[in-house]
Parts: sequence; C-alpha cells; structure tokens
Amino acid sequence: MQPIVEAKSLEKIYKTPAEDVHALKGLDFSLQEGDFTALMGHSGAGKTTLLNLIGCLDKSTKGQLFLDGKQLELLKDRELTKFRRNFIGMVFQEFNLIPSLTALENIMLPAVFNASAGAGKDRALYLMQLVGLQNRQNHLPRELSGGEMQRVAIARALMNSPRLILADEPTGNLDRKNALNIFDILADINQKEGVTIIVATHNVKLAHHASTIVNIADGMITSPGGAA
Amino acid sequence: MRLLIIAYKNIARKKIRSLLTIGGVAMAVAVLVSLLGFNAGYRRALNNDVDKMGYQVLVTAKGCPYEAATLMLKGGGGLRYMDADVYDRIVTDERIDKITPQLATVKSIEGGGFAMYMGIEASYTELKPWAKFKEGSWFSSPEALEVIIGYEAAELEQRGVGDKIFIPDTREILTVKGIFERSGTQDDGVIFLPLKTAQKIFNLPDQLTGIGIKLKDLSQLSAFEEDLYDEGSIQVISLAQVKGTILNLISSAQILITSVAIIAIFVAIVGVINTILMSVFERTQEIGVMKAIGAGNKQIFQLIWYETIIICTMGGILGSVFALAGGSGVEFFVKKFLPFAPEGDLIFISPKLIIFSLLGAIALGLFSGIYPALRAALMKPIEAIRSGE
Repeated sequence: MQPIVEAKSLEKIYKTPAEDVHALKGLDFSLQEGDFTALMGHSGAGKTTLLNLIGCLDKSTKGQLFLDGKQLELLKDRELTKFRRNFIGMVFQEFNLIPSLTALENIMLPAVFNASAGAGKDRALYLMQLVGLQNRQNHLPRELSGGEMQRVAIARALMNSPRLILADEPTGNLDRKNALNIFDILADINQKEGVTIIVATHNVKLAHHASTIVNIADGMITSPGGAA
Repeated sequence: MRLLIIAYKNIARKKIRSLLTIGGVAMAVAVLVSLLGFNAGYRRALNNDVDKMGYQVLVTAKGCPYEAATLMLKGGGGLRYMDADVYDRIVTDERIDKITPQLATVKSIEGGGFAMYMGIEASYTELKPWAKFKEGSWFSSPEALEVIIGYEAAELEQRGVGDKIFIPDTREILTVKGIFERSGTQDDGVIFLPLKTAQKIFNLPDQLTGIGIKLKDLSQLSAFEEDLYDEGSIQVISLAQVKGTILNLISSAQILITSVAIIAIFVAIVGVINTILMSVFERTQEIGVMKAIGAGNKQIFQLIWYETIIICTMGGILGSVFALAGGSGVEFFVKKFLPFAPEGDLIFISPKLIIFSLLGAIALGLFSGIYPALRAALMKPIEAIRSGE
C-alpha cells in the first residue's frame, strides 16, 4: 500500500548570516493512511520544520518528500496551493483564527478558497457539532476560550474534507483539561472520518493518545513508528 | 460567504482608520464632481444667458472685447458709447432680420451695490418673444417717464405697478409701468426705460451702448462683419465670440480648481495605498494562515483589491453626496472669484456625472490596490506565519 507521507533522506538547512542551521538531518520514514501519529520531541528538535514541509508551506533543502505519491520538491507553487487546499488541514498552536470572522465563518473560510468543492454552511454546522460548539457559531474569536478557539481551528481544518491533518502543538496554549479534550477530538476524527493525523507535541501523556509515536531529536528520528 | 464579505469585515475592523481614508477619497471625489459640475453648469448657464439675449450679433463701440462681452450680457463697468446714427446706417441692411438699439448704464444704489438701467425700444421684445409681463404693460410713449422692471429687480426694490422709483444721480422719479416675468437671464435684474427717456435723463443724447442684431442667415455673419469694418468707431461681436471670450475669462479659475482636484486625487491615492498597505503588514500572519489553509495568490490579491475598491466606492458615494449637498455653498464661493457669472445654477451635477465619478472612484480603488494586493499575494506562507511568532 502506498504511504500517504514518505520521506527519503530529507534535509532542511536554514541559512543565517552567522551559520547554517541543520533543522532536519536526513530523515527517512513513512506514514500510512489512517494513522494517528504523535511527533514527539523537545523545542528545536525539528517537529515544526517537518510539519511545515509536509504541509507544503516550505521546501526541503535535500532529499525527497512524497505526499500521496507525489514528490513535493517537483511541484510548482500553484500545485502546492492545491495540495494545501484539498489534501491538508492545518491546526496551529496559536489557533490563528481570523478575528473579524465569527466561529462559523472561520470554519467556512477554507471553502471560500475552494469554490470547486461546493462545501458550505451545512458542513460547517456539522463540524461545529462534531467539535461540540453548536451554540457558538455567531461568536467572534475574542468571545471564545482557548479550548473553544482550538476546536474551531480543528473544525476549520476539516472543512475541505482533507485526507491529512497536521497539528503543530495544538495544546501548547491550553490547560490540561482542554488539552485532553482536543486530543480526544482528534482521536475521534481519526476514527470516525478516517483522516490521517500528525500531531507535534512534547507532552508524553498526550502523545499516548496517538496510535503511533515518532520521536525526533536534533533533526533526526530516534524511534520511528513505534506503537503508542 | 464570499471574499467580498471577508474584505468588508476586514475594513470594519479598523473603523476610524477606514473612515478617515473613505473621507479622504470622498473629499477628492467631491472636489472632482463639483469641478466637473461647475464646468457643465457654467457652460449651460452661459449658453442659456447668451441664447436668451435673442440676438446673435452685438454692435458696440470699439474697445476691449472682454468688456464688450460683459457688456453684452450684463452691461458691466467701463461702458463705451457710440453715436446713435450708427443704428440708422445699419438698420437698412437687408441681411438683418431684427435689430434693437440699447443704452445701458449702471448706478450705485443706497446701501451699496449697483442697479443697471437699460434704455430700449419696442423692438427689444421682438428679439425676446419670451419676455412676458407679470403685471402692467409696455411704456405709454417713447419718451414716457416710466420704467419696466425685471422680476428680481422688482423683488429687490419692492416695487409694483404704479409705484414711483427714484433714479440715482438724476432728479427724476419714474413710474413703474410693468414688471417682467422671471426669465432666468440677466434681464431679471435690470430696470428698463424707453430709450429716449434714458438718453435724456442720463444726459447721453444720441448715444447708444449697443445694437442687438438677429441676422436672417447666420452664415452671412462674416460678410456682415466685414462690411461694418469701415465703420471705424464700432466693433461687431458674435454670440460664439462672446461665449469663447467668457470661457477664456474663467479658464484661469478652472485651471486652479483642476490643480486642486488633481492634488486631492493624488493625496487620496496615497492615503488609500498607505491604509491598505498598513493593513496588509498588520495582517501578515493572517495572510500566511489563509495561504496555509488553501488561499491562492490570486485569491489573496482579490481580497486586498476588494478592500480598496470598497473603500473607494464608499468614498465615491459619500463624495457625490457631499458635492450634491454642498453644491450651492461651492457656487456661492466660486461666484465671488469669477469675472462673469451667468444667471442660474453654475454647478450642474447630472446623473451621468455621478455615475462617471463613481466609476472614477472604483478606478482609483483598482489602481491604488494593485501594490498592496501584490505585496500580500506574493508573501511566502511560512514567512508570513512566522512573522507573528
């Protein structure tokens, strides 16, 4: 079976005036469709860099990264945008909701950029229900708690029915109770919708909610694909 | 939900800043609409004034054509006189359809200001068939001590038929014989006397200030003018010349206003670019997030472009409202600086002009939005997202 994500000798080097920073040092791994993977590691280990590459937000310096069999390094900007729009859903640590839009409008936003999908208000309302925010649809982000904002962000990531969700420290700004709730929601989505999920976290307890844990340290994978 | 709604909500986030920018555009549009409205209105009023004179040609004493043009319309200062026998020599010309001699003079009145008096004959009304009496009738004789008053002059003087009127600088008290209906021309402000009475009481025997002529065929104007060239003391001014001369007189005022309008538009463009660019920089991370969740370069460009178009369209609508509402104020101000102001509204804002100005405002938005929209569209998503960290 073709892996949904596959990396071969993947390297990322950030060039700075002072020195070259090797954020990823030749990663080799693959993830299957339907996996719920926790990317574990301390700050600066390379988790975010890896998620940015998989999320088509950045390009590798060396090596190859395949998404659904397509090598990302060979794709043009327009094709990468289509990948981000149709294939991937992104969840950020800072929630990154648009302050002028209501919770419902924030969830609908990816559909606005994906006119061909035809997804609209009905799906957004379904997703609000899925994340337990059916009574918050007309609330602006500033009127929501941190946990609620992150749930809106998760619903937004699901709007275009992506096959892959990338969540970068989604619980970093939440208390323990809300953090657990977010992981439960992600696990639920993984099981009910069959969406592949990759979550970057440095919280060991939360990581055990995932089906697979990949440990990363100093830009290298130290324990690939171990069961949680 | 559409990009347009998102754009509107973005503008609504910074209300004060957006309102100030819209205000800037509105001012520029208001100036532009007023200027173009003035251009159209002035020409319309001038045409109306000249056409309602009833004659196509004016014969005056030789002198400055600018003075003559003003004289032709409202008998302004610097009046020159010619001998009445010029009229006797011209009147027999077969090319003439109608002809009327005039003697205009201006007297200062009590409490400041001036009153214009014009000596005329019955032929004057033949050239102005629309001149109707509101009350009263024509002079009882060619030398009667009577006046017929224009509509506005009658209102100003508070006179009715049978009332007496004192003529300044003379010892004469004349009787009001009639009052003309409003004509919408300079005639509304004139006090008319029989020509011979005027020559007598103003002590200008056998003198005229002008002879109004309507030719049977206007194509004969050049030949007619040429034939009168030998009359050394007079000049022939055609209606077209008068219009051209007066439009020349106001052209300097128009250049000044046009310069102000261009500066206002330039300032508005800079203001819009500055506002939108600032907004783009403030929302760099947001734009990065939009790209991360699927927005393409084209969509981000559209989003920012819509914002400038909304601002400029709102400014255009507001500016048009300002121009419509403040037209009379601008007219009052402009009239003070004009060498000659015809009767009627000097600012004419037509629906076509409003549509033109709105399209202009949208074009301003399209132009002003290009650079900020390009800056936003070409942002790298990862760099944009990191900018907020």
